[in-house]
Amino acid sequence: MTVIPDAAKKVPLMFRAQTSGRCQLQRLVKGQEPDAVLWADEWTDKTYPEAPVFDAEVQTRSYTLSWRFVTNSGQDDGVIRPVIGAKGYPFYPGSSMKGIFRRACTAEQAARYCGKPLSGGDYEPGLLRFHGGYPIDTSWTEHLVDIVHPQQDWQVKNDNKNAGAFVQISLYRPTLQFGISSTIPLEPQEWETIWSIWEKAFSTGIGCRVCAGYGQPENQAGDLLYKCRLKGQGQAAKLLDGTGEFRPNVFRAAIRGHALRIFGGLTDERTADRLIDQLFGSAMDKGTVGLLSLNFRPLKLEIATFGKGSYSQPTYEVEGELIWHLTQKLNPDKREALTKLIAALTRFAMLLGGFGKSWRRADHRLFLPDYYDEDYKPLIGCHWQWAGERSLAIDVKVRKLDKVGEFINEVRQAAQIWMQVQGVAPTSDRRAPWRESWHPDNVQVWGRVAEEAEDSEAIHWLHGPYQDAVPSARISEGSIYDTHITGKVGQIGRIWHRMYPVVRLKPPENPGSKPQPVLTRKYLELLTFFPDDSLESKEFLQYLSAQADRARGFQKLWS
Amino acid sequence: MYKRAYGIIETLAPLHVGASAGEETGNLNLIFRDQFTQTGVIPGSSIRGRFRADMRQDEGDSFASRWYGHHVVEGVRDGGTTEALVKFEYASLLWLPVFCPGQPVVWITCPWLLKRYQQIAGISEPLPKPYTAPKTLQGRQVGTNRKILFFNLGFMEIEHEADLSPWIPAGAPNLKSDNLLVVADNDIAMLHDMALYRQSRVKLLDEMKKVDTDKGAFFNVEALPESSVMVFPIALKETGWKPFGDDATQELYFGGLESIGFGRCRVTLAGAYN
Repeated sequence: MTVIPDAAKKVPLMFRAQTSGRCQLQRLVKGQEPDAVLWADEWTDKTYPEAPVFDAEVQTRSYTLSWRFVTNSGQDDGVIRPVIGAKGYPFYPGSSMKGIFRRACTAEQAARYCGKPLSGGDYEPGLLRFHGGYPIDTSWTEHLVDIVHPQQDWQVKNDNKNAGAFVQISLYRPTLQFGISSTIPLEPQEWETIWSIWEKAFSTGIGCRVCAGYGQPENQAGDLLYKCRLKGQGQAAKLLDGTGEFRPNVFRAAIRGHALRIFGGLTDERTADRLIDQLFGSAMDKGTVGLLSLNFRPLKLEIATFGKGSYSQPTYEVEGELIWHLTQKLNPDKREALTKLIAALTRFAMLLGGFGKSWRRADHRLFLPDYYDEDYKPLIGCHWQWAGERSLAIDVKVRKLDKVGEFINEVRQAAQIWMQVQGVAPTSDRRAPWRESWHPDNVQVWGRVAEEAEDSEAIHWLHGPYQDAVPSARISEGSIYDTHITGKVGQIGRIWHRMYPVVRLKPPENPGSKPQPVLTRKYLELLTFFPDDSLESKEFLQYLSAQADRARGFQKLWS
Repeated sequence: MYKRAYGIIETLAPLHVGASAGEETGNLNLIFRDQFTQTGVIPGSSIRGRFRADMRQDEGDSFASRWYGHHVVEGVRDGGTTEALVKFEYASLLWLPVFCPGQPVVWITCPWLLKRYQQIAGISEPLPKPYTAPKTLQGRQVGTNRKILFFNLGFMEIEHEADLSPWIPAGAPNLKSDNLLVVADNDIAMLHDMALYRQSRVKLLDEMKKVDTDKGAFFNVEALPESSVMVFPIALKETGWKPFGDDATQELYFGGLESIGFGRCRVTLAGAYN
């Protein structure tokens, strides 16, 4: 009998029980290397280096996914990890492939390609064999550990963090080769039909969590509702190994959050939650498939780092197309209402905030560069703007300060129309009791025009008093700095600060042609404030009202 | 006397030859296993059925009936069946790839399985002892000169070194001669369980990508993994049997779940089959 010192500690994590002290894939413990990272290292260390090759008779095509891809194997409790095939290779099972292929077929095609029931409970097999999809090279072994961090309640509703970060294992931007073969020889023309069905099936995403941007193809052909182009910079999500990643699910999280705020101001808590689940999906009860699915197609993406020492942070600069798809059939009325709603919510997110980490703050690198004169300062804020001529012309709904209030009303209107087609009557007197419900009694939007980036006024209030004490005039210092209004790490503030670039429309040179969007140096400086009954809130509102009459002071735009 | 031939099967995809309903446990669709080693087999009837069906498709029913026996004819005395000129036995495993994190893919076998191959292929080489591996196998070094591998039954020490390449049949080009290991007859059943391909499957709703919770259709399937190598004996009453034309090798599908990519195999014939 072989005696191995500390044998238990040498057992690969894949063969250990999911329990404390053995292996806990989904759990993150501060200061410890996560089991998921070790697990992934062990998995890929000696995995067969060659991708499986399909036989010459198998027709193949390769597709690259725009971001991450995950298929849950169902093998481990409490953690989502890919299906692992022979020799340790991850893959997309043929059974999943056949499942989505059949759904994209007409009844006739489904019977021919996938089989049909015969009388007497018998079944006639279809012509095709679905061989699954495999990564074409070993780049899948990189960036496997993926963190998901649900925080909707914390962001929108109250200060309870009811869930921490979880680990899942997913493939990062893999190129997968898929194989299909036939039991009888088929004409090249028919193969074209088969691949076009497959591409239709594939276009809505493969694997799980497709609505959050996982498993989406780079080239989209799904049922498009709304598409826009934008670019932004900010703090990238940090993976467990410290590298940065731009994660398209930030768009979905932000817009889902805004939808919750808007509906929360129009109806009661339960109805608002239900409307959101219907739009974005939910795992509660028996599960709801959301109507909306998101894809982000990056056109430019740079990951860098900012800051020194313990303040060092990965950053992104990204430009791309944000695409919302419809996942199910809807009648034309509902479809139109939904298209307007998702466009309105996306534009709302762009007007008043940003996406991803620190989205409530304007990017200090752009609007308060002095802040970084000292090296050791945290990175604060993000900055987003519309990009591409089409979005600059169509998606910029607000070009002037006095349009802000009108636009917010339009967003609420779009939400109410959606509620109506769903047979839900708005009851804004019974709004949801959340910190950030979007109701005139609960939120105010203030704004001013900043002549240039460094003309931001409110950004200073985050780091010092907004009003110096004037003892002779018996004016005491006014400040929201370092209070619950501005918030701090672990506590969300009650104020959003946004510098929204002003895009002018230049009248057309020739009659009959379209006006041209022109970027200006100006910004709309917008403050969204959810006042509470604290003294700081009252004083701050008083200050805002008092200076509203001054030239270039903040004006109340909506409440 | 019968001509002796044999076939080598290398699986190119997972292979599921299902057990009868009575042998299923819970919602796991088991594969059919050999009673001694508890390792997966392809029954001779399945092999015969595949060869016969392919010949019938390519060369017609009467040709197929001559080689594989005439089917029952209604109203004819004795059913009109004839004896097949070619006879198949079940295919047993010869080499089975096992993946375990942190060590290379290792193809395993055991003396019992090797002995069957030895008899079928007429190999004169003596049977290797249990826990034999080639010198080039990468294991974990423990202490000095002790090489260890981990499997689901625990750590296994390599006790003997030998060149196992005489036990690699022609027709198994994916097998790596450095990564072979002979385990004991008592180990193979459990290692086989670790090596099997297992997949959980669910039925989704027809109209939306969501689990059909009302029907609750959730089931698991097991299969031999790709790159498994199997061997089966063939006996022929007559020469001239050319199931693959002039080639000795062809791809054939065995077992179930063909439509989702299972069962693709490369079959190579050897011996006096022609």
